Amino acid sequence: MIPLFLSSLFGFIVLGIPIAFALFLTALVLAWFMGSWSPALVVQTVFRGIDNFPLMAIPFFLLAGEIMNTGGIAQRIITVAKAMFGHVRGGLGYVTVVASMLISGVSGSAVADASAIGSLLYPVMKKEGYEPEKAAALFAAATTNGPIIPPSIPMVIFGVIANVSIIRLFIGGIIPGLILGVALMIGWYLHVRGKARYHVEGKFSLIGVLKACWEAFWALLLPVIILGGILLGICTATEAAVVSAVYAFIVSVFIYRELKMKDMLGVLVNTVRGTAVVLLVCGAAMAAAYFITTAQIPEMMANLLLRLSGGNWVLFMLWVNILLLIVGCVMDLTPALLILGPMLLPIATKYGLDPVYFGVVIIVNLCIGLITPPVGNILFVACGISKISMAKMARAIWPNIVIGIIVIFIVTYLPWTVTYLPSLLPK
Amino acid sequence: MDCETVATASRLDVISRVMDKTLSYVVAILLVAMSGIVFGNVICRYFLEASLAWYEEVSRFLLIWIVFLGAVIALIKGDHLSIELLSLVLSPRACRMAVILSDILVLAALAIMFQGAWDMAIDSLNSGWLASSVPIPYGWVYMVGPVSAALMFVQTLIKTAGDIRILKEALP
Repeated sequence: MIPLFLSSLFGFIVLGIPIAFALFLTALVLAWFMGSWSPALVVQTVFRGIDNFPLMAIPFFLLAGEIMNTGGIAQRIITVAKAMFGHVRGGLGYVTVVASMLISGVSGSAVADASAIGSLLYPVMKKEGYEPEKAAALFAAATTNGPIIPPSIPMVIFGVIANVSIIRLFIGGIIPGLILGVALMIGWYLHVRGKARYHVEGKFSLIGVLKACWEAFWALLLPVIILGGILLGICTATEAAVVSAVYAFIVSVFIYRELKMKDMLGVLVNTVRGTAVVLLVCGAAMAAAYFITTAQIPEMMANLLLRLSGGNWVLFMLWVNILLLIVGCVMDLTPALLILGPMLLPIATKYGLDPVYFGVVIIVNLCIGLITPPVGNILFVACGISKISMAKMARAIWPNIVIGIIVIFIVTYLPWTVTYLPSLLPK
Repeated sequence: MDCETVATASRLDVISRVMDKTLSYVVAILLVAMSGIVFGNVICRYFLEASLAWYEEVSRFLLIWIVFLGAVIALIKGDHLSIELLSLVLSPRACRMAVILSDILVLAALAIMFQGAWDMAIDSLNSGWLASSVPIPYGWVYMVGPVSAALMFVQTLIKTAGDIRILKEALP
């Protein structure tokens, strides 16, 4: 069954069939060969994969992100980061990283963050004389933090498929997200150090920072509301998501007055498109997973990986990370998570690994996959915004990929970076 | 000319545009309704300390409709995630043929999806299965399945026609 499964799935995907349909077809092929052909049964598992209340956090977080980017909230958050770091050498680079981290605290999608940050900061960096490739590579890498720092759409999905607390996953992502942000800033520091083209401008002023914070007060309150609500255990992920969408709407329409009613249709339709793409893959992956599990493929994969790594979790996680990095080069985060997550998690639990730790590690890994060529959704956005060719971008981004891989291994082999904060939560 | 070339405009595109426009308004209304219901429940829960009994079921039904109708819009806009590796290794002509083969497989998947979803919706209607908190028959919730499959089938036929036209005209 494994060769049949792998060859049909990868055959369909390599042929260029959209991954949702490739998974659906794979489910049909497996059903056919297992002698349980029934289109109604396959469609029913697709529906059951989508009909899940916690997944509703996804459209609401996407909606909050869309409104934030259209209604002037993202722009004000960037102004705050500028007041804090704008005055040092290559300051806009640090601004990019810090603004990405703040904006990640509102939106759950890396691609939306990349287009927001990129379209607002890249033109400024280019005008200031930054190397265009380096600037584009930086904002691409910085926005991989989107799904690592809560809220996070992949974490919602993993929580649902693995039956793990979404809130714990969210909180487990905080320290890895900070580590990635700091690591990227160190990388940027090493790049700009002593280079005359990154001139120093202006002076740091506390009054300037306070003024920017005051002007961005309503915008900055948004990540505070979301994280605060989740951290204090007041609301579920779905509730936090809908509250943040409504809050972003009120601030953008009534306080900043930058979101016009005529833009609203576009915002809503974009949200629906994003939701449909993610959840259709989700439903189809559930259908494929149903037949994969019935065919006992996870057990066979588990035995293979157990043989490869002996009884050693260190070796096991090494194999998992290598596998995910390779998959991440050609596949987007959501499908990779949905295909591999349910297969790898049972093995991880056999090794006694915490599902929250395991989920956060594979999500961090697959987020770095968003900037690994040839296929990386953030990379595509970055090429689109900067009009830099994929080949040039691939050359400029490799130091950031190396930084990402270092962060993956820090998080993997220092498990407390993930598990410490969730362990503070009441059971 | 490579594999990513999009077919030139044809009269059939009108159908795509009408589907896109109409569905855009429908899903926008559904999304506003879903947000309103879930947010309304948050308000009720925290300020009135009462929960709307029907909110979870109704919002889940709305999500199902949003996903399946949104999938049609996403297909028209070419949003669905896929991997374009063949254009890197194959000649433009061979690549275009691979695209047509994948179009045909998607058509097959959609035809089977239509049949399965139709059976499921009709079975649920005939069994008179109702939602537990509101008198909505499940059959009507599931009816979005065959509708979505049929619309996506039409859209894929239009795309296939375009791909065959490119193969014939531009890559002889």
